[in-house]
Amino acid sequence: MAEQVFTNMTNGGPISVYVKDGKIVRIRPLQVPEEELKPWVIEAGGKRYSPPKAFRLAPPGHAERNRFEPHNRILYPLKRVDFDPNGERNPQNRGKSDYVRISWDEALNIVSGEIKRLTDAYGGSSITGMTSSHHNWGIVGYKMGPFSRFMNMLNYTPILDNPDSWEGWHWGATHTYGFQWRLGMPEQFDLLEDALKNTEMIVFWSNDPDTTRGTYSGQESAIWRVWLKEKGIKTVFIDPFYNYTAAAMDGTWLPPRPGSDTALAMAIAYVWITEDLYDKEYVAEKTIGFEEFRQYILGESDNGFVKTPEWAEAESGIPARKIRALAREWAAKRTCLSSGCRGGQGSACRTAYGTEWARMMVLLQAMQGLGKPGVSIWGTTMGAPADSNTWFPGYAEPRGQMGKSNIAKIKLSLQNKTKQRLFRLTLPEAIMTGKEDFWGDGFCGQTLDQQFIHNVYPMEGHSTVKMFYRYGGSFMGTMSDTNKWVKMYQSDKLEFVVNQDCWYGSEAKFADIILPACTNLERNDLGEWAACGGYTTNAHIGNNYRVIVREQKCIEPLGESKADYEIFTLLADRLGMKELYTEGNNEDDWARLFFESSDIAKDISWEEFDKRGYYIIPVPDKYESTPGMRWYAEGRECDTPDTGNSKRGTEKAKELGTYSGKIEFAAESLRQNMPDDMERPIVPHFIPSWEGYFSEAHDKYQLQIIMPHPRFSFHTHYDNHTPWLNEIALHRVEKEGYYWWPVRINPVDAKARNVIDGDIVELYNDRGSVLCIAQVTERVPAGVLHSYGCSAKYDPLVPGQPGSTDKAGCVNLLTASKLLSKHAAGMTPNSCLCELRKWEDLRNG
Amino acid sequence: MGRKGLFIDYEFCTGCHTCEVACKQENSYPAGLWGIKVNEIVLESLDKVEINYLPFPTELCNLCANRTVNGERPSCVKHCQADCMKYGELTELVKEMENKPKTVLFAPK
Repeated sequence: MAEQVFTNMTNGGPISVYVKDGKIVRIRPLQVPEEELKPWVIEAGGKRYSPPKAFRLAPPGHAERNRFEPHNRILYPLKRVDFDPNGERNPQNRGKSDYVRISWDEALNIVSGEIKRLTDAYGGSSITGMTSSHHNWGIVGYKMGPFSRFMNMLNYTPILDNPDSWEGWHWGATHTYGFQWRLGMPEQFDLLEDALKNTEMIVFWSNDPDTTRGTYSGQESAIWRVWLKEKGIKTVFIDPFYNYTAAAMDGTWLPPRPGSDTALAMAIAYVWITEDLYDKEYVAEKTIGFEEFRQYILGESDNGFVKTPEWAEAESGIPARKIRALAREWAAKRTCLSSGCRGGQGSACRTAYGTEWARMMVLLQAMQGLGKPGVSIWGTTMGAPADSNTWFPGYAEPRGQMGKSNIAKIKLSLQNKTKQRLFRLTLPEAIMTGKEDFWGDGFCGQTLDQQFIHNVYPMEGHSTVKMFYRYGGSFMGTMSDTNKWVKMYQSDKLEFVVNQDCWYGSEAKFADIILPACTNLERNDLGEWAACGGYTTNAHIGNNYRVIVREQKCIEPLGESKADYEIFTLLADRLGMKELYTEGNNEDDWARLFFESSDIAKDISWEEFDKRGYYIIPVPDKYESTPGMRWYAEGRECDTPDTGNSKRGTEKAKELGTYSGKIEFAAESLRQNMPDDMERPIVPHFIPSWEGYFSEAHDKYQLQIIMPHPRFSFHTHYDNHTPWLNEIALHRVEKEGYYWWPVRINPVDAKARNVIDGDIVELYNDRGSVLCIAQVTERVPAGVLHSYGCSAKYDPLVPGQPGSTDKAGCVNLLTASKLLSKHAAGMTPNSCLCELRKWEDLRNG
Repeated sequence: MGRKGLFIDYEFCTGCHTCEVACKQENSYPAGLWGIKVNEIVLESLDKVEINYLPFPTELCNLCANRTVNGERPSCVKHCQADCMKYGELTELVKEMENKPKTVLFAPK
């Protein structure tokens, strides 16, 4: 049979898939005739900047083909050998026992039978479930679609997500400048043009955009940073790791001790206040609470404790003279603060009291006139010119979800009668102890007040959860304190665990029943590149072109795997709810309905879109740039296409999302709701970490480990089962037939522990133990280890035994469950102490 | 037609390894084979850490003869995200080197 070419989408970018004899033989970036690509042009400083006529995938996108090797995939329904739904269930053997292949009929009967049994006995609230993030891409087949529609139909207990990549911004920065609809990350519109035209210096603070790439935008923005470097814009990198962007842009490197970033920021504010180097007019007109802040910084409050550069030096290890020099240059130049790939994010916000650092980032820029030309909070990964007024659904907004969108006759996802909630970070505690309470609604994207809601589990009139429906799975590897997840899975409180995934992730083998799902290359769907909607509206501005792709079924599902929608339909049928679930629609009917609800249906017919496989939304001929927050700095009504901003287009359109509508040095939302919270006080405070350089545990465990997002995989996805990536020695390193996870260590620390480059080492503390391969380098300062916190493989020496040493690099075995602070329910993987020793037992291990 | 070569401006190489993976994809190489391999050169003897990346075309590189015959660029050049690789006549590429520091020219085969 002749070769056929299909179109599809990944979270690394759009692709063309070449298929011969039912097999994928080649995957390339989406092939579009060059004449169809009309690149934008930015004119700045007498030069014209324009992107290449091509789509730049992230490395995993190029390696997508590897993921279709059959040995990687779950091919058949499986049952744990010692699980009998009518007899002994042996939950304690989850993670230990083998599996036996069963038929789809048997698997579906067991799953639907358990749903029925539990619902009859305890009600729908006894069932809980959760999706993975980004194992597939699409609208019909991805997480908020069929899963949400099905589970809500059962009246299940949802598990709320924490914004795990930008905790401090969500729980902290929102109280300074709003943007709660973006979970604390600022709008990024047209900031590329602003930087090329106006910015004289960029301070990258806890940000490695060449690695994190605007999250889903492939490497589209890499060329922007080439332009910035060519232009000679000065760069400074504040990061304990000499990161990849620093290596490429060759900037000044300032490595603070992990957890000391807030002190550093306060010392900069001190220099500006004492040397009169801040924008007083802006502070007077656009902000409130500065006086309280000034008193705190200068020690007029806080028991006379002055936040001098000398104090910050003692905390951070950065010499006071360098802090002063940075502060003075920052104030003298039009400076962009690049503090995370979407403007917000970065390791420093995933640390003890990370709220305070994120608040300080906003307040520092407020002191320099945030929103004025060249003065922005910009990740360098978003802000290309684009048509942002044409709407296409994204998975994270109601209009992109088959249980909430108007395209559904019955909005099943909104009709869940169960009001009980669980929270991802404390799920193991909730299950094991049968009770839990937590603050906030997970993603608090509606109002600031959502953060002050107190949830108690179990809720009155509801059951504790007894069944866990897991869809994809990456908790092990990405969530803190891996051992507690092992213990949760082995708890007899969970009577039944089902895992529905495409690949064998770490969690699959903790299930009683495993259901094989197919990937979005094996079914029909549609989706826009990088655009998730919801928490990042208009995320397409991280790309040089707006690309909508018809995700075409390229090959038959591997083995007996099935599309998620089909699996849920089959289950619904057994529960007598098929008609309710499907409304008579097959998967492609939903795809077409979504398409027709979108604005592009006016420009291209469904038939043509289906056949051609993509649609590129052109940049308008007369494009008018509206740089993020410029409207605010100039006292105008919001003119950006930020549809999440609820004040936009109203009489309050000149205001930010805070209570006062201004930037708040002293947060009114905190003053009114939690005035006595000394861990997230009204004015940001420096609070020493419970686990850091100066904490008691440091006597025993002298290395601080940081775990940023990875460079060559998409958190856990594409790791482990993608040989082309495994062979990149910065990702995994082969030794004696095993692919090890690297840990980076300073030569001084390595020598003191008799470790040389390439040694297998054990990282350990009171919480866990994990093996890695040592990369001895000065890219980390003495006292600091660096390792990416997202191994897809969990491979304990004693399978299924909590506490057993892991070979595969799940460094989150070491991290604590402790949250940012009492009322800020974010995770803190970068507040972690451990020790490291040579692993002598390699051959016996 | 003179000999062809691969020009790399390593001032701008970011070490993303995309050329490496794109080459494996183009040639369907199994694990352990590379047509081009990115090297990380870390110099720690200066007063600061200095890191450079340099892709090296291996024994297997034939400059994508099957692509260039159709007027396409070699896979690594096509997919270089920082646009720091060029393919062309050696005599032309060498002129580029006159004006641009931190460059190399490979003439693999």
